Amino acid sequence: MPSFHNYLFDAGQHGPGPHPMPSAVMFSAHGATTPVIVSVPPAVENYLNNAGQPVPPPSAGLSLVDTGASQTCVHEPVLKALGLQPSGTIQSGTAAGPVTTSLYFIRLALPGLMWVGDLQVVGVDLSGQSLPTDPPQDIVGLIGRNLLQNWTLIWNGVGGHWSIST
Amino acid sequence: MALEPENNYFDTHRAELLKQHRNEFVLIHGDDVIGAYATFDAAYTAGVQALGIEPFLVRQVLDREPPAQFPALMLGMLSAQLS
Repeated sequence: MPSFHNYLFDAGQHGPGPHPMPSAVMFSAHGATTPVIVSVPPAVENYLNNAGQPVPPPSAGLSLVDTGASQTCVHEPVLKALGLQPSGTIQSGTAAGPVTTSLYFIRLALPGLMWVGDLQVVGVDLSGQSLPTDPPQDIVGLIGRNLLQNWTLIWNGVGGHWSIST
Repeated sequence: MALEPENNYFDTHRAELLKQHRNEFVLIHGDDVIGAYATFDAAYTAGVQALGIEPFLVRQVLDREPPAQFPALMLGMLSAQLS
């Protein structure tokens, strides 16, 4: 089971040595994020290739680990840019009552965790969600419990880092 | 709403589908049940092969599906945290 350790650093904060120290403040503010690549699933790629149609290029961004989300979510405009159509719907509860949301089947890659898989994700609106880095990085996905249930996640808030074993 | 005819068909015929395909994944397009499959991947692949990139429904035949939960997203806490 490979393990991946993730640290957030504050460029202005150094420890006694020359290296920056993990920042608990940065970690608390930003949460656990990791790069994500969203692409069409193999069935769609094969269909487009056989039909002589171009395969839309993958879309990259950041994903945020969200232990409150039961399902993994992706920014819906990213899914539509890939030419994907909904293959299901799901009911989610809100303060205003139940809302029906579209599900899409995709290939999801998490290169920082060396993980690739095909799964159904919820199309959501993540407009304006970004990490305030320089330059800002858009958040295009939420990693929910349907993926986390297969892994071991360790959140070290005091130390300013998180680890995941996939 | 996406896939409304397909979901209406599923909900109307759920009892019948449960008798024949409990726990399987049915592939529905409009009012047509194209097939029932052991896995989601098999149903989705069959759907793309039959219908291309048109919308179609793949839904597991269960008594009822658990609702999804996205508290941070639904309550706007992501924006509050990150802005």
